[in-house]
Amino acid sequence: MDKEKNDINNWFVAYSDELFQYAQFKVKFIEDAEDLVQETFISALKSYANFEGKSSPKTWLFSILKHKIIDHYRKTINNIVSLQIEEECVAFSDTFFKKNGSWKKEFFEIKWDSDSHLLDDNLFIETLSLCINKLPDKWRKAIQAKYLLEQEGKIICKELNISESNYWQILHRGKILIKHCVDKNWFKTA
Amino acid sequence: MKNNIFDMNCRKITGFYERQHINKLNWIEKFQLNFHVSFCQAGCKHYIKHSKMMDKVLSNYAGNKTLQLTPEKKKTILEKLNG
Repeated sequence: MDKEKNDINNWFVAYSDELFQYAQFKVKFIEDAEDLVQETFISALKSYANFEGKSSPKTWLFSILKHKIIDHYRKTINNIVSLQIEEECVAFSDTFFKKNGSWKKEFFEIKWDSDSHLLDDNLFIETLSLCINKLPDKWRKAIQAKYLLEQEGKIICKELNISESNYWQILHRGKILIKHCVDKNWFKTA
Repeated sequence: MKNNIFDMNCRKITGFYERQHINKLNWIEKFQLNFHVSFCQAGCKHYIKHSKMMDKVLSNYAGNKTLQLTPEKKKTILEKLNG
């Protein structure tokens, strides 16, 4: 096997999961994350000659992946759509409060009395996953970074280019919308 | 006119509740949070209960979510690289 193919194969074994984890956090669908990792390694193979070894292979691969992610977003109009959705979601989360800022009863119509059965229910997990994916891009990323990647708030704010105040508001509003979505799609049909 | 420290609504209070996990509340905000929640049985107490439950559920969801490429996808990519 050529040296270049041999190296790329070894790097694939060593770093593909980390790259996938990163890509999964950046894009909405798992399939897109998989494709981005694939494209990253294909590009790495094609431009192997340009790799001078000044940085580690991992850093080099991540820089390729980051460019692929930027291209991915350029190709879609999701960014524009998600800005509109974000405004709608802010307005929608406000509808659970009365004008004086107190809760409307409807929000607590369905009470999650015990989490024990929820945690083992695959259908519930699927519904939850769907509800998270319905959130605006930035909100979904913030929630996934907190719970999936267990990243610190400050790092999440930096990655998403948001203020700390914006971050806790996203968590606040995001939880309200996730509860509403799960109540509507799982509890009412279960 | 200064704001009355007792005059806080549920939206602000539950916002404080989420904010305290990211940066510390000052003593006035802590007092406002605890004071309001002790009286707001119907709304904020329930929100906090649900929020804690959601933290657990979301962490569990994270545990269930795949963080690795599937063996099939790995095989496909390796075939493309070596093809």
